[in-house]
Amino acid sequence: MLYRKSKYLWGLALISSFALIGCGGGTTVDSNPSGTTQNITLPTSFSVNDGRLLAANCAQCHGTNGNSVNSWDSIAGKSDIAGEFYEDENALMGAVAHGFTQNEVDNIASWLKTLPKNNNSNDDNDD
Amino acid sequence: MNNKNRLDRRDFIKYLSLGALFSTIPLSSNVATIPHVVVVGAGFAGSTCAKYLKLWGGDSINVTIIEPNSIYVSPILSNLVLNNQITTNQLSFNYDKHINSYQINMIYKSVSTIDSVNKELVLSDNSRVKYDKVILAPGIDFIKTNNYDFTKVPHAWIAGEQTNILKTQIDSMVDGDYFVMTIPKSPYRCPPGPYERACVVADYLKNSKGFTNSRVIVLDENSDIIVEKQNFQNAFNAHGVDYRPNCKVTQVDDTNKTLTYTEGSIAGKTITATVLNVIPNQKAAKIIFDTGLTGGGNFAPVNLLSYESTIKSDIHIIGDSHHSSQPKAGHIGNSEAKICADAVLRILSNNPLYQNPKTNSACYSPTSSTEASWLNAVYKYDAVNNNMILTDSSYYPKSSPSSTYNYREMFKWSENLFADTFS
Ligand SMILES: Cc1cc2nc3c(=O)[nH]c(=O)nc-3n(C[C@H](O)[C@H](O)[C@H](O)COP(=O)(O)OP(=O)(O)OC[C@H]3O[C@@H](n4cnc5c(N)ncnc54)[C@H](O)[C@@H]3O)c2cc1C
Repeated sequence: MLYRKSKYLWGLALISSFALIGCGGGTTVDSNPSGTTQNITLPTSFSVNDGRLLAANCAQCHGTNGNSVNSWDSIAGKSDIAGEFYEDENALMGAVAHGFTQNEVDNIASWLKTLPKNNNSNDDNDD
Repeated sequence: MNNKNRLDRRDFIKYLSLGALFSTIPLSSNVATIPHVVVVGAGFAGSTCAKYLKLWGGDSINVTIIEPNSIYVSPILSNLVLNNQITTNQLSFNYDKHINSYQINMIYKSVSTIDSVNKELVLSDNSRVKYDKVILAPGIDFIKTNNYDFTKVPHAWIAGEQTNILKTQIDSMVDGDYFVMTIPKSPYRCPPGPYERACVVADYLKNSKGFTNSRVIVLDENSDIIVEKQNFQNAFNAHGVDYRPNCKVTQVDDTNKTLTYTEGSIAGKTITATVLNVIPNQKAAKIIFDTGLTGGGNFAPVNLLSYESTIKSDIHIIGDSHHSSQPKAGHIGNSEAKICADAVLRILSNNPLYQNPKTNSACYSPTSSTEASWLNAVYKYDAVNNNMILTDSSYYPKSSPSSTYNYREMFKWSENLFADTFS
């Protein structure tokens, strides 16, 4: 029980631009302790991309630009996403997939395959 | 505590970096024409929007966030503070990534009024900030039945101090004491959230504290459990929650901890408890009303292709303050924020808006210290009614019953959601 609890806390602390507040607080923990988040390169200009906008729906669970911060799958750089999108055995993914058309999935896939994959991200598809 | 000092120092540093940023912009004829987009409020919707404006718009825009607090405490997962599974520290986020990685200017103040004619925001210290586009993401405000003290009768529906007040009150209960909570009339922030809270608290009192004589009583202004009915009913039965629909609070007495309410057609009923957790009815945040953006309702109507106000141009409203059929929730607020960021960038670069936006919602609800359920829906744009509607109303909302597996997965979901929003 205790072990599980502290594991979660560690998990949250790892990603959360973390700051300790409250009684006896005032300590600030490094916001990026182990490089779990990617280096960001901002573009010089804006260009329209429908696939990118649709794929932003994936980021809440699979990470910004498809790089997950934990064992949930990273999808950056994937070329086969269209094939597995509707077949994922994860029930929540199955539920979300139902809301997207094949055409939208193709659009999402063509954007995702252009994205660089983080070295430490997980794309095992085992979650 | 030295929080104050830290805030001042932060403010100071932010202003330095703001100056530095402007002075490092190449001195071309461009400088004057780079549009300035200001995001007001940096919770789930505002933080995501500001980040994605820069992630996608880069050097083509300047983005400023105006937010009074240097630390944001997530309401998502905050019910787990009440049963000792996590602390508010673990739900606390700062804006370092926004400042350093996304080059967003941070001003730790609140917006008092908006001068939409001159396109200027007036801040709490009377300073003014010009905008080309302003995105309001200020969250919710409460509709109180009467004037009472939130520190005595906490809502804990905006997380942080309120969460800890409620936690302390719960921890002061002894066996036999009553916990009475109320559920607001829909629409309110996080539809499953109050039911989730009732389960978590009842499980905590019974199974962690070992209380056999205490009771958790829920007065719901709605006529039934509004989401995940079977799941919550099962949990209510398992934990012995006393659930009463059609109960509308009419008076809160914070001294005697007594509620007056109407149950169905019977007015003037009262109930007294050691801990009263009234979650009041909700409306858009104050700045939305002060700017005249509600059109007579409680939330702000917007064009759902861009989230631009249908009442005033160049003002966009996202998250819990806007009006649509989408639930008032953080995961989907993050989704709305991206549609809005993309739309603002398209408008500023003279591109047509994307005509078929989709958003998705996910809520994980802990129902005990070991089990959670989830609720999901995907929304599409309905051009006829300018609304976001379920992509398939025979399928959604989709839910998964409480399980220990879902409880573990909940933390993976929240880690990625928090990272996509705040880092
Ligand atoms: C117990 C609980 C559980 C929840 N669980 C889930 C869940 O599982 N999934 C989910 O998706 N959602 C969940 N939610 C809902 C979610 O937390 C909210 O819907 C979400 O926080 C709304 O985001 P927002 O950006 O609109 O508002 P907020 O997150 O409230 O942010 C508003 C920000 O605006 C700032 N602000 C306000 N006025 C001004 C002003 N005048 N000037 C400048 N700044 C201002 C505030 O300081 C604040 O930081 C839960 C909520 C609760 C209470």
